[in-house]
Amino acid sequence: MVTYFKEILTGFYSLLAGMAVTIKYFVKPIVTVQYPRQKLSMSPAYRGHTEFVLDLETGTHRCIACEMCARICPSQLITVEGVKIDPKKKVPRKYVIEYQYCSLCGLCVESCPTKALKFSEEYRLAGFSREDCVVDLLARLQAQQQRAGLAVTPRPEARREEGEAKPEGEVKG
Amino acid sequence: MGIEEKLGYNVLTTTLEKLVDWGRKGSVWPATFGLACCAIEMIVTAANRWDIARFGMEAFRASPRQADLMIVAGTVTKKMMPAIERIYEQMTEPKWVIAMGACACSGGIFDSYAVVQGIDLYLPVDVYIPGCPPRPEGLLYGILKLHEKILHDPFLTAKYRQKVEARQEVA
Amino acid sequence: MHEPGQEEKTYVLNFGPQHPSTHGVLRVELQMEGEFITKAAPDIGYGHRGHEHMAENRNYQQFLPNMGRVDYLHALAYNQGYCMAVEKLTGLEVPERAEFIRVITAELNRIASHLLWVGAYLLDLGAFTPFLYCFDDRENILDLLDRVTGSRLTYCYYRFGGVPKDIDDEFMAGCRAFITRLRGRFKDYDDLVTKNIIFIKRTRDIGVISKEQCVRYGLTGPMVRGSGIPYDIRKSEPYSVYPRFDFEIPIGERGDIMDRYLVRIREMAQSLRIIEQALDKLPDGPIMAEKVPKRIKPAAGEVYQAVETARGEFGCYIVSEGDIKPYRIKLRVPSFGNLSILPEIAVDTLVADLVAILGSIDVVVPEIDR
Repeated sequence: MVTYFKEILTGFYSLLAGMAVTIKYFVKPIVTVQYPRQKLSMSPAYRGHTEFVLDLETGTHRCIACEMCARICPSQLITVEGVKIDPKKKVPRKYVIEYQYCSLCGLCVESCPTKALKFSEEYRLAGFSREDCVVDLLARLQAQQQRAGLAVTPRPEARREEGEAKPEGEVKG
Repeated sequence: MGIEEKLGYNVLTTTLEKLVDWGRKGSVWPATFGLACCAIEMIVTAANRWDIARFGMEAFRASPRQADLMIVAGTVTKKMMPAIERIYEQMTEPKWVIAMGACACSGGIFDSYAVVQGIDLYLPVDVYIPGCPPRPEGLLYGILKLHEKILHDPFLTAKYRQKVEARQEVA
Repeated sequence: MHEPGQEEKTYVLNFGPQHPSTHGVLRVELQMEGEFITKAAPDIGYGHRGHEHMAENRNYQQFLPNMGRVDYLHALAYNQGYCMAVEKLTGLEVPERAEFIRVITAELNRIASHLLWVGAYLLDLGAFTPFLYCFDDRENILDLLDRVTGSRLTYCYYRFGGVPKDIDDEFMAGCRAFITRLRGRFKDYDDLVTKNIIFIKRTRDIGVISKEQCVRYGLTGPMVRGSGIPYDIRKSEPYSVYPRFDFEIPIGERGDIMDRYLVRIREMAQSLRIIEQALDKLPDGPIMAEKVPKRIKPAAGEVYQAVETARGEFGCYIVSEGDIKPYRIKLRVPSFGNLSILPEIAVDTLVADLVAILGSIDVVVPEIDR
């Protein structure tokens, strides 16, 4: 009988002790982020989808369309189509990532020989269809250049005849 | 809503529909339904840092019959698919589906024999959230997109019914 | 209670695959006699993603992101186990600084995993408040890890021969601040959970596992330590730079759920000790081995590397045939072994206790199914 009441008392005390902890945190500052009303800044290493590094010296990207990233990608989601603008230089005509397959491992960024890729800080990426998740890196770069007030890198056109190394499109850098 | 079937589309029903949609937007109850990694981020969204209660969604329902929204969070395997389909069918209309994460959107990196290559092969998905896993902000952004859709989509009206029937015929 | 002449009936209850306290997609088929369980048969495979099969079709680097997704709660230990196995196979030397960074981040991740377990487990038992505190602490760790790894959950951070990104002073200051913070929080957890009468009633002397059972079923991790066997890979088969740190292996006495809970709480304190020492001793130097080949092509052979994850022993067994792709990768996962004891200890318990027992095993279903 004594143990019974003792148990009730200790139980009651334990509940009070727990309540005290809760009350203690009631007056502490809140930890909730007010996300939709406040833009969050991502950590410096944050991995969003990849994007081209805007090289400020040349005002364009550094991609040489070597397809190293496309080859190392575990999900094979990178499509790179290069075009030769002169015998020694190749630039991408199309660089598309299908972000819905991406596992954000970062192998593409590390494998790039010219360090042309970086992670974007984009986190708002929801869409109404699968196709909304496809990111065109060249289009993204062009928008970025426009915002920075730089000359926009045009998309080089595909060569009409094979074997003819004729520069097409105004590609700088 | 159902009432317009009797009254037809007029000022009264469409205005009421707007009100009802606004109400639906404010309290979407998700089903407690975690499959893999993304489920943890879903739980985190419900915890204190990203308090999902700010959107009236803190009531995670264990029973699909009380839920409006299914957040498919994680890899869907072929063994799990019948269970998911059943849960979806048990949910009451109107219902929405969010495909959270790369696996639910498209199969993600798991291009293997056991994994369903995207939940949209079986269920009508409203919002896709890519990322592996998407950050809680990403999920919240997806939920905001869903709210947008709830406000603007004539859900469960005659048009939608026809769409569903047409889809079933094709399938 | 049944009428005379009416037969006593057993019935089958499906627990899962969609159930709020199965932690994912585990199904347990229960044979019930009234409220008591007479037989529990776990049905696994709902989270089978075919990791091992995928390994055979990819080269060594391309399998890296998979390792963050087998056990997503302690992903860095899996990263470490796989990287160490491949390094052993190819003979790559990891610089000391990289090893220290690996230990710091892996231990932070272990604390995050245990915190999540405490929160989610108490949620199963019906306590909501501790869940919020645990997740608050966990967010702090994730912020720290986010700074170096770039992801919050499914890390793909370690590379063969080191780590790709160095830790900075802000990370170290954050770590130290977190250590003091969590040490202060342990008292709150004590008041809130450990001394709580409802929690004690639900966990004391429930789901008791004897030492003999532990050995028979090959349990690892907090399950075996809760029963009083001090088995920890970090001590028994030391790897990386763990021998240089001074830490203890907490063990329980009775082997019930309460002991497993206490072991995990104490393990967090020990992990904090390891992190503190590692931060003090952190050497300067490179973070990546020199001459890491672009294409990993180990010689023919096989290797096994075990690491201690938050759930127990994870072993990575690789067979190479001298190709750029592994011939076979076998993952020995702790949750699979730990779950195997469930049919034995679940017998003659109540359904409510089964939730408590299953939660205390700390299963991660995609890890069981791989």
